[in-house]
Amino acid sequence: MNNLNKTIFIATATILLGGVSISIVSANSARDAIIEGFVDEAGMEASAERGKILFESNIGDGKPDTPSCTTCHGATALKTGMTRAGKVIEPMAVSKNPERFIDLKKVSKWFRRNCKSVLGRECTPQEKADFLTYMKSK
Amino acid sequence: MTKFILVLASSVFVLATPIVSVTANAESFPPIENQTVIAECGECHMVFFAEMLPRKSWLRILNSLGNHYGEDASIDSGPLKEIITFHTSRASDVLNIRGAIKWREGLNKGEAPERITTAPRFIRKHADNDFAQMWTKFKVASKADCLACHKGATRGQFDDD
Repeated sequence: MNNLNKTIFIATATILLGGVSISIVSANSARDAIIEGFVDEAGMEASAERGKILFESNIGDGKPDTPSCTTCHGATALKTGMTRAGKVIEPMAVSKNPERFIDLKKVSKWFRRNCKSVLGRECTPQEKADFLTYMKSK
Repeated sequence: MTKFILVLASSVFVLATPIVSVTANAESFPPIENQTVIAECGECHMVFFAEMLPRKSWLRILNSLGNHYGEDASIDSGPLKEIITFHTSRASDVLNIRGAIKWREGLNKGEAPERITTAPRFIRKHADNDFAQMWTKFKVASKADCLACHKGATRGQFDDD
């Protein structure tokens, strides 16, 4: 590679890598805004510890086939899970899956469905804030 | 230098070329291209072919997504309407194409199976003793997971047994 080619190569790489880091930064801020929204609604600080308990506990107040989040999502936030119809679910932990929890519409839809399936009711804003804070920390 | 630009340009071209989907289907199902159907149904399971069940089955299934085989799969009314239209217009007793005709064989008038796995054609095709062993042999998690055995299922290819 001569110098000009080197320059072009470095410039291209910088643009590509720059794009990636910008998209991670914007994903992080979108997620933070969603969490902040639930924290505001709850009127109290979120707790990753409570989020972990919510995710891993055998609750069993909802539909009999789904007693816990982990029934489908895998034993821990870091693991892949499987829907009851056999489709793989990517891990919930943000470190494993940076695209998690960046679209409020999608987040709301899945909380609505899965809280009803597992808890037999909608989740409270505090539960949502705790849950997302835990997933963000993992 | 020119060579470098050429390589860069051609790699961009290759990356930008869309993957051409295969449309040849053994059962003659038209490919599913409705993005709402793909997004909403495909999040949890393979997007099943509407031609496998009659209209009445789809109406029952899609109007009770709040308890969808034991799970809450409810969706907003906008996309729901679109999904119902898609499925009822391609239902086994509505569409006159090979796949639909095959899947309505053996259905009594007004009969509405609750699942694809209880439709006459599914039962007929999986009635063999060998099939009974396949479910355990391949550790099929759910009979809704066609892909566990039929690798071309999403393209409507089920003749690989």
